[in-house]
Amino acid sequence: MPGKLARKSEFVPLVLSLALAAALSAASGVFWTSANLNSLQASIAPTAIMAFGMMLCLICGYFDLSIGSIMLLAGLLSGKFNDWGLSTPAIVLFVLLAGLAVGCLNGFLVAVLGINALIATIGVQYIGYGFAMTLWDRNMQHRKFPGDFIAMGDGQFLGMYYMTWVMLAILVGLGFFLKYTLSGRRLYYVGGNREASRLIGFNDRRIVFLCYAATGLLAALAGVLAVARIQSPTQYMGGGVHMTCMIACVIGGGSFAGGKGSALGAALGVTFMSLLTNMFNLLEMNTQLQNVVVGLTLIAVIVVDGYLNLKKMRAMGMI
Amino acid sequence: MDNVQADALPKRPQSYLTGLKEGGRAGWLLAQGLMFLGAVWGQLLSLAIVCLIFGIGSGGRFLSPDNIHAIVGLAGVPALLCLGVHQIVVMGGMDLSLEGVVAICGVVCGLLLKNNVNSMDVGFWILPIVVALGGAVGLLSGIIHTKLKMPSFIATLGVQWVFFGFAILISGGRSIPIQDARFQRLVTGSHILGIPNLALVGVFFWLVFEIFQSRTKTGIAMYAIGGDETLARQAGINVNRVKVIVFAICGVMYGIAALFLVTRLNSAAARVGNLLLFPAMTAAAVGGVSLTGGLGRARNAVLGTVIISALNNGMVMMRVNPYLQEAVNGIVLITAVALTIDRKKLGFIK
Amino acid sequence: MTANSTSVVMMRRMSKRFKNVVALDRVDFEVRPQEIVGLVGENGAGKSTLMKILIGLYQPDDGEYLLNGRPIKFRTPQEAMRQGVGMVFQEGCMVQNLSVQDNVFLGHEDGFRRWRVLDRGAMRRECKAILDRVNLRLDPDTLVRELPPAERQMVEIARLLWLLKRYGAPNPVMILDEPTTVLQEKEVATLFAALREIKKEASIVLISHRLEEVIENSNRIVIFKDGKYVDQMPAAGADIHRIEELMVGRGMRGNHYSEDKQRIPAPNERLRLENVSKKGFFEPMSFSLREGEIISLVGLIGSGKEELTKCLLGVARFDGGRVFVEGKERTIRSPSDAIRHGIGHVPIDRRQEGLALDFNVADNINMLVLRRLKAHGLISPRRERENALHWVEDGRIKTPSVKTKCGNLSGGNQQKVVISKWLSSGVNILVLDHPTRGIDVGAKEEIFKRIRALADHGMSLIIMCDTLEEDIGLGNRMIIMKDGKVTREVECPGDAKPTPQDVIEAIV
Repeated sequence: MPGKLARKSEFVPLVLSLALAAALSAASGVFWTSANLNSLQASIAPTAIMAFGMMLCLICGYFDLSIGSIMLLAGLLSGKFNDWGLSTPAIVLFVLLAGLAVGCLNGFLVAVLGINALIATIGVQYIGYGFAMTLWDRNMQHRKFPGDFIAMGDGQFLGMYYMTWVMLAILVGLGFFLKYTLSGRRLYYVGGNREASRLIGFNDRRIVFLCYAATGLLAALAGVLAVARIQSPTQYMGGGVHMTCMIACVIGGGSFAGGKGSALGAALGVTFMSLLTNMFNLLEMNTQLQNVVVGLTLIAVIVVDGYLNLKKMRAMGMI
Repeated sequence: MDNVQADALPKRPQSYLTGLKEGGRAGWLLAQGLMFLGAVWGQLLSLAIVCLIFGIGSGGRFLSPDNIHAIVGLAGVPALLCLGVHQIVVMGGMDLSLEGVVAICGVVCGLLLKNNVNSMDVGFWILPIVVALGGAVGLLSGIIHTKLKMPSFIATLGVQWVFFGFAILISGGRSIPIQDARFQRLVTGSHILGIPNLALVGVFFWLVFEIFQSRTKTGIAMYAIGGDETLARQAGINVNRVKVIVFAICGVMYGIAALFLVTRLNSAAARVGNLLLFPAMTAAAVGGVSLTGGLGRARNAVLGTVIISALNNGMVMMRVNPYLQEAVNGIVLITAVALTIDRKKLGFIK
Repeated sequence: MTANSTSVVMMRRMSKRFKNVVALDRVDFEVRPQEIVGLVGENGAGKSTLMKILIGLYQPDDGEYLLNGRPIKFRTPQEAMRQGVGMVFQEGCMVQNLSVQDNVFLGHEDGFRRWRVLDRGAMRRECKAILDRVNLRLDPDTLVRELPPAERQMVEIARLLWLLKRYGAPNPVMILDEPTTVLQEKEVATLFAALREIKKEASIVLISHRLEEVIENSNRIVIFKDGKYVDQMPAAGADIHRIEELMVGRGMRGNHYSEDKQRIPAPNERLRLENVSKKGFFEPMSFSLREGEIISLVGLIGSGKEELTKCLLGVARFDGGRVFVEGKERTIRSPSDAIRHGIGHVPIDRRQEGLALDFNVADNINMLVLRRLKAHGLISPRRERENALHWVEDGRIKTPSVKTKCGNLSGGNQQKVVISKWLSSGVNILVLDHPTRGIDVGAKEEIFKRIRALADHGMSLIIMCDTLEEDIGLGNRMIIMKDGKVTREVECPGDAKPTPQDVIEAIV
């Protein structure tokens, strides 16, 4: 039984997270305080929601580099809609729709037109960032968000933020979807061998399109939750988040080659990355060192993923 | 037997180009010129449209000699970068390490040229140094890609992070003011006929690359690899060697571009490379370098850079919201790529 | 074979196996100076394997290879080229986005260096001279992708000739693999005229299935079958029927294909194709497939049978005609349409198209039927396991567990997984494309038995096999296609199987 457990792809990020948490609680007395734990939650929940989207794309064999700009767009649009006096449910609805629209754009470019995912999503990142920032005016006074909006970010239930509950709900739902439903399984097949799945009659283009649409939606949701928490949109939202999510997903069992990964893995990977950032803050590491650590993690992740892929292809005689 | 041969193959109308080529030196030159135009007419048309739109919109200011001067100067450094990276795209790969390599080369330039942080003053020796450094990093990217068999975009992503980190480390995260006025005059000046020096450098490298691409074994091999790597290998081409060479050349161009960048600003910092990758890729795509590989020459890289520079210059002149400018650049990139995709070769980037 | 001291190439007792499959079995082969030798045999007879050994792409397991009297061992095709041995592949080996000139000199530009760069003028002149040799008037700067197939072929031949002569080999040997498949009649005449000229300075090995052409244009004909050398004869006065006979062997031994168990198909029609056609590939044709019937679709490359199956499977589309499944008219525009109407496909390339190698046996088998393995609305792992175990047992698939990754199974077992996948999905019509390709002899028998059992239980099958013997042995009926038309339909009742000689005429 332990052997089987160890072979599950979620084992690695789980162990890494636990180890890091243990190390941090030993190294810093501040770790287990409610202030720190709250801030951890606030950092994990939205990022994990976005990582779920990234993981969906990775499973099909693609990735999405525009999630940062979608998050930013969501945050700034929330502010704008609020300025126009929309009610909280309306704000949330329209922002989510906007995210969905951008996701559909990604899906159209990659799945329908066949544009390389890297270029398409980088391009959309720039477009999204550009459009989003036209909504940004640092001098303008923004209307304060209504109470129920702020409650989305601040409210707690049984000791955990609402957003953490939302993340957990999505985690469970997505986990079930991927493991136990037809469409979920199809994602893996499309990622595993696109040609074969097409010959079996899976509409791979539609599947990939929907993945990108879902990613857009999730990124927008994360943006809304994030802005609800900090109560005012900033122009820095979403910066660098695609890198964090990518690393988190690969640590969590996803692979650039496609066909692998899980919702739980994504969540655990994000936990690890957030603990890493937490470590930077607690130990007051300077930015240079932070960059080095993140960079090293990225490289380690890439190398290991590449090496495992190589080994697998050699074993199956494909090289 | 002659009859059989004579009417068996379909009679191909002698194209006028072929006729020209046979017609002595002058005919050959004319034919080359026409072929050049034929290859890039789309780009020239786009450039014309851009000039038209902004020329009218700005009341003619766009096309003033001063502004043209500015555009050409603006295009200098991105052209060097694009000349470097487009060859990697021709081979079917991608180079995400641009910003990191420029960072490390820029910082090294800052530390070695006359500055107020240390006592180094290497003067013109900086040229071979930066070429060697850029080339070495490029070499590394190429080796990781070929020996470890990682897709180029992953290999170069790693290189990007590592060298960007190094740059931050050795610069202490600060900017290093450069005090070598000779370079600054060189880079921003216009010594010959009022043409910006940077433009001359650009043209020089353009010619060098054209010669490399059509008149060297390695250059031709590069296009063969981009067209069909398996066939290229079968023909006896040492694919790994060619790839590593192309990556190294690319690194050299990054280094030279970095040198010009920091001496123009008179200050070197790790972030000097930031936001340079995207315009270089866009320029390549707009210029007609296809992402699926095998297509695109130095002329495409340079023209693409000129078009993008003109576009951005025009947008600034018309006071377009800077953020909207980014959006426009994104749209241009996607459109350019979508138009140059070879449907039959879709697949993951190598 | 008596040693001829003036042979250019002499190969003796060449043997080669791939895993468990014997490709060549102690084959002798000789090439004499200034001759055109035609090499004929069925698919899988060993012709390409021997040629690839000749040019250094493969290494033989055993045997002697003498070039101009001296023993030789080529490690790469480049080495072979320098000694004067080269091959023009069927698919061609020119890079599409380069010009003719660049392709001709690809990898060999060294001779044109002037002042460190290539002398384009000299290259152009040399290229024109090369093209002249085969009477091609082309601008060397033309991109290869713009050339029609006939000219592309001639350029390849011209290129090979130049390369072989470049390094001063005394007796170059040029191998042409099915050069006339893509050519029209007039172009074929031009080709052979050029070859007759080339013969004066090189030897040519001509691999072709077009026996009349081979007889007309070679000096000598060599016949292979099942990886063995069969016979050779001078081309002058050769009897085409004798050649055909030698190619396909003398009838079949024993109950190889369980012919005794061959059932009479039920009268009801599962599939009926009425006047289906596709422009440029095959003309209107009709046939029907009954329950429990196995139809062998036979034809050479270019006969149209591949396109026919592609249209049936939804990968391509018929231009005209109607398709009836179980009596109802259906349109098939995509693979999912085909599957929905009960037509399954075991592809020729099971590793790329049939299986997800990275997934385990259970995943692959259950791929199409997940809908049925649900409990309370969600996929039940228990049911998945049960279904997989059932089919593993039913198909006698040898695997350590249902969780083993398919990439780790042997070829035969992989094929069984693919078949089980379709069986599990309940299709009634299965198209098997070269089902025993790349599978060793022992496993082949099992697959034959499986196919027979499937038909016995009522499945309707369309098969395209590697050899004529298999097609005859397994099928109830054979439909033979040639150049886009049905040339013959042959009944193959279990107790009165026709011999390959009886039908070979309709194929070639």
